[in-house]
Amino acid sequence: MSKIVITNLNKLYNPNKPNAFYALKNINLSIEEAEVVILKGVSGSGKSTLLSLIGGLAKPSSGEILVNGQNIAKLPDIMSSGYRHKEIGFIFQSFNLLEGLSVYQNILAPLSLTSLSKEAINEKVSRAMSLANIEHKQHQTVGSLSGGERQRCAIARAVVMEPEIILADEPTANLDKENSLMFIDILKKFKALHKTVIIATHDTLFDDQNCIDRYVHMRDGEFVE
Amino acid sequence: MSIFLSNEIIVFLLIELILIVLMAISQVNIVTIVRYWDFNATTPLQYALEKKNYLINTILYFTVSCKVILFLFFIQSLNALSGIVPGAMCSAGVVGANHYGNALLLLKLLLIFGFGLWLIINKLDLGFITFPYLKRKYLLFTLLFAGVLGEFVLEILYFSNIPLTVPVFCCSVVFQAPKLPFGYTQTLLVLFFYTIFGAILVLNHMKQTMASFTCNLLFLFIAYYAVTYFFGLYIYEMPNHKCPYCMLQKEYYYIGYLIWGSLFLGIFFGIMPFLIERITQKSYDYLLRYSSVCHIITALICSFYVVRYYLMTGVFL
Amino acid sequence: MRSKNFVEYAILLLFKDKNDHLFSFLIFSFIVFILSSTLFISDSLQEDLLNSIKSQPEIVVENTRAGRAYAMHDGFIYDISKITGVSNVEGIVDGYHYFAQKRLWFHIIGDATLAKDEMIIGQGVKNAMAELYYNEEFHFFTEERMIRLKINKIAPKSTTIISNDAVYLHPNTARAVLGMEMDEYSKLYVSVPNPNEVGNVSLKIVEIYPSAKATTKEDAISAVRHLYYYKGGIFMILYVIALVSFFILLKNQISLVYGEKKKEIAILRSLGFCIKDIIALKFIQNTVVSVSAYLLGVAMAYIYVFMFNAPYLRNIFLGSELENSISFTPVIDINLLFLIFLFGVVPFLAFVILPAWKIAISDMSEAVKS
Repeated sequence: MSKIVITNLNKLYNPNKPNAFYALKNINLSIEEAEVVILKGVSGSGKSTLLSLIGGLAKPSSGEILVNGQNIAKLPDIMSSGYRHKEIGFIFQSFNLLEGLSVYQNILAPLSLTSLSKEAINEKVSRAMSLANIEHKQHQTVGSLSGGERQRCAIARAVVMEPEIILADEPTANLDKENSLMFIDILKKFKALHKTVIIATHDTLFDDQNCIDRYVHMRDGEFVE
Repeated sequence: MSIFLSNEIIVFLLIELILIVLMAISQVNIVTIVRYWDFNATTPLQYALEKKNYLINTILYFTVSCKVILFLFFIQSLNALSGIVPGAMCSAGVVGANHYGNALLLLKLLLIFGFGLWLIINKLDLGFITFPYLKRKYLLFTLLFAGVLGEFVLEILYFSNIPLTVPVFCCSVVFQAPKLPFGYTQTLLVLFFYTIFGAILVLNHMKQTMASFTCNLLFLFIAYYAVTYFFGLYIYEMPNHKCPYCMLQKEYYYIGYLIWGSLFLGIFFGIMPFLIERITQKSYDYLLRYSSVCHIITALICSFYVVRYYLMTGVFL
Repeated sequence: MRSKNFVEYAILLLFKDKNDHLFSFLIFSFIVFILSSTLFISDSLQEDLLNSIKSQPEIVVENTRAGRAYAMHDGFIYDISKITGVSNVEGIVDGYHYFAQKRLWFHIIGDATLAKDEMIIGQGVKNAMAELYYNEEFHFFTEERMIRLKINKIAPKSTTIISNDAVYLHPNTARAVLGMEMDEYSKLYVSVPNPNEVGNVSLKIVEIYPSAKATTKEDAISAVRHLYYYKGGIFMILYVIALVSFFILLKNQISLVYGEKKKEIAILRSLGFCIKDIIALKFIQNTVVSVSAYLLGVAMAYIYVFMFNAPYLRNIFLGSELENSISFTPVIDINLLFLIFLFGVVPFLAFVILPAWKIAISDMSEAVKS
C-alpha cells in the first residue's frame, strides 16, 4: 500500500468572495514509502499549499489525503496534532525557530509533549543534532547562528521525533551554495534511513541528483507533465 | 451593617459572578454550535464550531475546579460568619439561620455531581473522531447553567436573610432528637446505614448500575443523618453534640473532610455509571469499584470512632 | 495528563519572554500587597482588641442622664450585688481630661494598685507632654485647682493599643482630676461566674436602673467584630474596582503582544501542539506569574506591616489624634491567605482563558509562512 494517497484534492482560498481562487485543483498523487519526491514549480504554483495540506497544517476544501490508510483531512484537532507530532517532520523556508532559546532548547520542543525520561530525551536530541551536524552549537541561542546553521537546527528539530515523513518547503531558498550542498548530504542521510521525503522547491540544484526518485511539476495548482 | 460587607462573602460572590459570566459566554456559543453543527461538512463554519468546542471545554474545566474550591470555601466561611451571627457557635447555626441554608448546600452538591458527569461525558466525546455525544453533552450543560443561576439566586436570598440582630439556633437545638425524620430511633438509623452500605457493595460487585444508582441516592440521605445523629457523637465524645460541621474543624483533626469527602465521592462514583449509560449507551461500570472503595473508607472511619469510644469507656453513648 | 516535560517547557518559554509578563507581575503583586497589608492590619488590631476584651469582666455598667455619661454612687454597687448570680461588683473611675494646650483628650483610668501620687502614662501621652516640656511631672488643671503629679512610669509597649492615650492614677487622685466626688464611680465591673446567667443579670440591672447601660462581654466582642467587618468590607469593594481596572489594563497588554506571539504559537502548533496544549501552556505560564506575584505581595505585606509597622496605611485604621506608636502583633490566618488567593489569582486566571483560546485557535498555515 502506498504511504500517501491523495485523491481529488482541492483548496479554495476566500470562498464566496470576489477574490476567491483555487490554490490546488483536482490533485491526485500517490507516494510510496521511502520515496524521495521533488515538487517543482514557480512561486504560486501551489506546491507550498500541497505540502501544508499533507503536513496537516491546513484543511482542504474537498478531497482525501490518506496517510498510512487514514484520511487526515477530516481529523479533529487532537488527532491531527498527534499526526503532525509523530508522523511529520516539517522544515520551513524561514526555519521558524523559537528566538531567544538555544539550539538544544529548540530541538527539545516536540519532546516536551512526551513523557520520556530526561536521559531518553537527551539521547534523542543528541542523535538528531549529529544527523544535522549542529552538535557543536547546541548551547548557542539561535539568534547568533548563521543561515546554514539555523537550517540545520530546524532539520534536527524536524527529525527528533523520528517521523516517517519529512516535508521541506524551499529548504535552500535562503542558503548559499555551500550550505545548499550540505542540505543535499543530509537528504542522502534521510534516504538511507528510509524516510519518505517530499521537497517543494524551484532550486535547480535538485535536478539530476541520484537520491531523488521522482520529479512532479506543478503550475497554477495543477500537475503538469 | 450588612452581611454583604463581610470579606468572605464579597470574595465568594465575586468568584461566583465571574464563573457565571464565563458560563454565559459558553452558553451563547453552545446555541450556535448546536444549531449549525454538521460534522461531515468541510466548511469554515464547521471548523470554527469545532474550535469553539475547545473554549467551552476550557471554561468548564476551570469552572468545575473553582466550584469545588468554592464549596469548601463556603463551608469554611460559614464558620467564620458564626462570629457575627448572634447565637451561632459554628456553621450549623449559620446554615440553619433560614430555610434556604440546607437547600443551598444540597443544590451545590448536586451541581458538583452534575459537573463531574459532564466532564466524564466530555472525555468520552473527545475520544471519538465524530463527537458522538455533542448535542446531549450540551443539553446537559444548559441544565447545569440553569442550575448555577438558580444557585446564585438562592445564595443571595440566603445571605440577605441571615439575621444579624436576632439570635439563631445553634446545633443543639437544630439537631435535637426526637426531631429525627420519620421518627426513627438511633438504632434503626444505624441498622439502615449498614444495610444499605452492604447492599451497595454487593450491587457494585454485581455491576447492577441502576440499583446501585438508587441505593446510592438513598444512602446520601441515610448517611447524612447517620453521621450527624450517631457517628458524630462518638467523634465529639458527647451525647448531645449533633453537628455535621464541627468535625471539619481543627479540633477534630479535620476528619470531617475525610468522612464527607469519601462519602460524596463514593456516591458520585456510584450514580455516574447509570447516568452515563443512559446518555451514551456505553457501559462505564468500572467506576463502581471506586464507589465501593470510598464507601468502605467512610464506614471504616465511622465505625472506628464508635469502637474506640467503647474500648475507652466500656459504654455506648 | 500533562507531563513534567511539558510544564518545564512552558516555564522555559515563560522565562524567555519574561519582559512581556513583567508588567502584569508587578502590578498584580502591588495589588496583592495593598490588599494583604490592609487585611493584616485589620486582623491584628481585631485580635488585640478581642484579647483585651476577654480579660474584662462579664458586664460593664455605665449610667446616663439626658443621654450623656453620668456617675454612679455606692447605692448602685449595693443593689447590683444583691442580684442572684452576681459574685462581685467593682467600682471603677474612668474618664477623659482635656489637655488644653495640645487640644488633646487624655483617658484617665483609676488603678487601685497605685499609690496616691503615682502616675503611669501611655506612650502617646508621654510624647504629648514632652512637647510642652512636661518631662518629670505634669500639671492637671481642674475647675478647683492644679494638681501636680510626678511621671513615674511609661506603660509597656505591648499594651499600646489601649494605653496609648491613657493616664493611670490612684482612684482618688483620678476623681480629683476628673472633678468627681469621693464616693462616685464612672463604671461598674460586674462579675457573673455562670455564663448562662449573664443575659438575665444585665436585664435585671436595667430594670433596677432604667437609665443605665449594661454591656456584656459578648456584646463588646460582637461590636468589635462588626466594626472590623465593616471596615474590611469597604476595602474589599474598593479592591474589586481596582481589580477590574487592572484587568482592563491586562487585556490591553495582552493584545499588544498578540502579533509576535501568534507566530510562536503557530510554530508550536506545527510541531504537534494541539489547541488544548496551547491553552494549557498559557495557563501554566499565567499560573506561575500570578502565584509568584501573590507570594511576593503577601511576603512584602508581612514585612511592611509586622516589621515596619505599616507607615501611612495604619492611619486609616487608628483614628486617634495622638501619635501612634503601635506595633502590630503578627497574626497570620490560613483562611485569610486563602481568601486573598481566591480574590486575586482566580479572577486573574479567569481573564486569561479567552485570550489564550483566541491565540490557540488562530490559523497556523498562514503564520508559519511569513
